[in-house]
Amino acid sequence: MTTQDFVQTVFNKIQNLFPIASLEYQYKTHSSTHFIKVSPSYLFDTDEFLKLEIAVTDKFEAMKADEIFCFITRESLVEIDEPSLIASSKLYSLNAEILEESLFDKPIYTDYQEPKFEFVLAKNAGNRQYAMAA
Amino acid sequence: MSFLLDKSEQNKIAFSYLFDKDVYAAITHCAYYSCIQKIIYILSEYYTDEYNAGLEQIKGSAGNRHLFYIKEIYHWLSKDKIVDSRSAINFKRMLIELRNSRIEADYYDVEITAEKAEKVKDTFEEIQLLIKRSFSL
Repeated sequence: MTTQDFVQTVFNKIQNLFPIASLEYQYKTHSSTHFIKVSPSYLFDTDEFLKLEIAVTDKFEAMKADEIFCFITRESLVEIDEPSLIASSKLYSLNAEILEESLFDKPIYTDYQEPKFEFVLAKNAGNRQYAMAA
Repeated sequence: MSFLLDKSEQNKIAFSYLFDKDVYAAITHCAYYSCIQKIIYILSEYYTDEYNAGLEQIKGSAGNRHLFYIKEIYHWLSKDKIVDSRSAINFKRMLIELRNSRIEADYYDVEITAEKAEKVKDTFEEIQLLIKRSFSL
């Protein structure tokens, strides 16, 4: 398996587990390190991500002893400046499609009618008149 | 005291001194070497046979040596359950990041801003804290 295939597989695994995840990948030659930036950061705190991270890094390092794999977040010391692979959140894409359909294909307010304030005003006016009369 | 631990301590002192003077260019170097010298000491003292066998396997490559130190200390932290798996992987992640930043700070046209220096400091302190808790060093 090539590194590119491996990274693609990792992207798929993460996004199947966390459809909200956005991912960026960069290999930094000077440190022989493969970085994957994961957003949002709170995914790091889940047990599911921890298991995945351990499995992925162990598997990669067994394949390539002279390189290393590392997951990072927005708060990390390392930044991704030239990503060679990017995956947007599946969830945001889905929401964007639904929103687009709602706005352009199926308008939400087709049965919209102007509210009728006249009745309320007339009744209040009547009460006022009645009160005044009393 | 071991010379390695002494050098680690000197790098720690240098880090604090430079950080307080806002001399950020060299702090990543001091932070990284302070950590890695302590780790080399731990591996050579507590896991001597495995450490020597591992070094023999990667003979002749300076870059690989540092990756070996990081992978090896992570291996023992996890295998011997010295810390929980989350702390072990966080520790490894921080070391990888610090190593990458050290190379960029020393050899590349990368600015070390006050914000970045703060992150280096946080990472350095967390690594040192885990070493202290796990190995009393």
